[in-house]
Amino acid sequence: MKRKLITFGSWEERFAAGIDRELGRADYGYRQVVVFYYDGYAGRTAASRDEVESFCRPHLVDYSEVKLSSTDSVACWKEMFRYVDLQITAEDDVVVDISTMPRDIIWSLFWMLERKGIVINYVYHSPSDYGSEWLSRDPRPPRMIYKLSGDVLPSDNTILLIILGYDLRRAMRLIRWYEPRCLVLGVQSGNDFERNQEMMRKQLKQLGSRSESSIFELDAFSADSGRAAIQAALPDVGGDENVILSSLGPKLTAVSLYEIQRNRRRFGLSYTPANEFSDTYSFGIGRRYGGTIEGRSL
Amino acid sequence: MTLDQNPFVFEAANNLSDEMILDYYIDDHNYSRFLQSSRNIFVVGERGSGKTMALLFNSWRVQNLRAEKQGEASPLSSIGVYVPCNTPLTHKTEYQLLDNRLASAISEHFFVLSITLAFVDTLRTIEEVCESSAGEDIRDEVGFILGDELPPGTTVFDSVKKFIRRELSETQRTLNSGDPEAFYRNTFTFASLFVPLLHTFSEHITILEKSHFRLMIDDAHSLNEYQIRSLNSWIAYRDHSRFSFKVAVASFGQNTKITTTGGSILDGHDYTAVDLGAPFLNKDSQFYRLAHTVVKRRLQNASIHVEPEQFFPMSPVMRKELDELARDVRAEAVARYGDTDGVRGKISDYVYKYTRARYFQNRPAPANRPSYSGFETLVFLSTGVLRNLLEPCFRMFDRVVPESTVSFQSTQGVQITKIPPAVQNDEIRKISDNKWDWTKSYLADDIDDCTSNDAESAYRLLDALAKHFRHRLETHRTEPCALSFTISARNADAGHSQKLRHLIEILRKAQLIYIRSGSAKQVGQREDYYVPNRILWPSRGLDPQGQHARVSLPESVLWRAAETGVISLIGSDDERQGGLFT
Repeated sequence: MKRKLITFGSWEERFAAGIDRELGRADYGYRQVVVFYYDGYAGRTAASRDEVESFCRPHLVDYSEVKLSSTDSVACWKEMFRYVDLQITAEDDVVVDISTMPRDIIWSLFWMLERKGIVINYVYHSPSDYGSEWLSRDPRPPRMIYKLSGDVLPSDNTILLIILGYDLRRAMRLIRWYEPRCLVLGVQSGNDFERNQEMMRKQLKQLGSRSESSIFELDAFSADSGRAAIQAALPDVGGDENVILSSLGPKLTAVSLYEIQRNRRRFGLSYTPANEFSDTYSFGIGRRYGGTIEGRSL
Repeated sequence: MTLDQNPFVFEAANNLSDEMILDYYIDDHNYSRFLQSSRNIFVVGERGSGKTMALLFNSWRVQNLRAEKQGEASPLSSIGVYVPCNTPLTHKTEYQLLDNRLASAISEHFFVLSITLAFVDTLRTIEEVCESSAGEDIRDEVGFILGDELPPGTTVFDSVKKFIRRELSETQRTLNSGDPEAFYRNTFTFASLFVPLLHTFSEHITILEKSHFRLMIDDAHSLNEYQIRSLNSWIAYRDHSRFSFKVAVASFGQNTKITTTGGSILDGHDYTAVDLGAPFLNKDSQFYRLAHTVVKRRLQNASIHVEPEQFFPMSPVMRKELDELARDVRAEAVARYGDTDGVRGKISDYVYKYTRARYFQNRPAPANRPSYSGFETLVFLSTGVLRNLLEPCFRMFDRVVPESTVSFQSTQGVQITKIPPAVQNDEIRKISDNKWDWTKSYLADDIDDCTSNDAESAYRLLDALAKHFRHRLETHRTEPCALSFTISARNADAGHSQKLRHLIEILRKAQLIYIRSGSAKQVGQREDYYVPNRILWPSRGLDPQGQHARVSLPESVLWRAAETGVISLIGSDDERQGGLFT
């Protein structure tokens, strides 16, 4: 069995450092590293991709890349599908490094792997800290994720659940786009990063004042990535409501939302892409988190 | 009504109850007669212009409630069916994974099921219709159309509703299956589902025999390209005796008029377009009358029985100063034209044109800005969009609740009888400042297809316009007041032309600029002109009131302004009139 590590090219330090950390543990037994990367950021990620390739050589690990379109979501999805369909077999042992992977890519990749009957393992390396200026900007219109858009009805009211992150404008964009009847906001508890509390307070002040809104806390860094807390925030919904789930917060909540969607057929996943990401999005590498997806077969 | 129920709530119409829609909606001074006609109508208006409210008011549910309250019979001759398009179903994107033919079929299928669902949902709420739909004939025929036997024990409408929900669910499950190009084979079209159902119901239910159904498609801009083409093809049907479309859209461009066969629908022939954007805002205008009625109705609903002008009084100091200035300006006019009956009109025009201009000329921005208050000012600041009128009213009312001077204690609590001019001024300035801040900091985050560079250009363009209008106010001899512009010397081949169009489109989507149509200098012709949102101007010490002149600005000058923040008109009439604008 070949153990593959699928990751996503980035200029963030934790991209290369994360792979270095993974390959450094002989017991993980990686035989291949596959780097997906966006064509629109090829220049910005070239040096770190080269670095990753150089990490692979001494470990005798195969290195390959898959170029994806950063602007054409259909072409991107089809290229990913083609790769998974042709290059991955049910016998493969796959680990997805979600650290620097956009959420729409994470969700689609999970779906494609699940479709092949593969047990999906994931790993996440948090950064030491995030940049102090803007992280992402110029969000594009939100969009439902192909094949994970749920089972919705035009006559039903919409509940929008957002796991909040640092970018208030992306949350507002989602709200304006879907015009939900009811808003459920998830905020990260604890104080993993210094400015978390202040950012959350600011966002809740702006978003949580709507009459039909509720707020809950979760811990994305707990064993279940906050899944139980998210499920508890949506009691008995989905019968007569459309439910849209979106994660702008800790990356690990993308895992919990995926797991929830796979078990609640009516729920849909939505993502708000951004046109620009900061050069100083994050610094260093922090803790390692990992797990196995609890999905269901297609 | 209690004070925590702000009468100027500007909640999205979809979140209002039928009772509230009936209470708040003003049937006069707008285009309701078009919506009640049997013609195909496009209602075009920006976010907040009242499109959804107009459609919902004309839906059967609200019209029936109105009839009930007025002791009239149910309005069965013309039945409005409200079809929302901004739903998660419309936002689904799996069709993009299919080839054009299949993508078109699946998109129409979803749209037709949505319309039919709204149609039967409306019919099942009409008691008389339900009572007349129990026959076996109708069930057999409907079963034949659906290709499915209707389950016993339910009404025909409930059965159809259940069928559609099941179809929607099955289609989505198929599309979301593991097959990358999964397609649902049993798709319906408008002609295979909606039209035969409509005919069946009309034939078998006597009270619907002569009913006309108005299919009111809200937020049609949310539809995908295939659904827009399908809709246009249905609009191009010649026979509209049984149904018509009332389509609400944010904007209406050439690319939205194409049908599935590649043809185009034509204004006047296939449809009538109604623009909710109000070009005129003065006291005699239809929009002013509508705004007056809306505010008066809302005040009455809150048991506040005063005229809007009394509730939002103008600053008495400013009123006095303006009156004094008007006397001086009038004296100037008399000195220039004389004081005979034949020149009365000229003198009035002169006083109208120059009094407020003089007042604002003497107050350099941003220091010593004038007081922005009075109902008329609020109407002008709205730039002809109702939500823009209600937002400052809402904030002012909210502000006054704890600060209010108690005029009397009623059994319902504290009664507010006016918003003090100082509060009005304060809130207007805050909103104006916030609008500039938003433009500078968040435009790229909030508007589609707007990059950070676009946002910077947009801010510079508005800033340049503000400086230009300010400079003109201070120096222009004949037409000092200008708050709108036309684009001249267009050159489609020039590189800047497309960039400027893109920028104007961003500003339009952001409701920072409104596009209006008016008479051009050439007799009999019309042209588009551009009105920046007047709430921008208090922050820059400009006067939002008045119809004012339109400045003609060459395309290249506007693009340079977007790049540099400066409007430069060297050698132009404007320059000769008042110097170089910077």
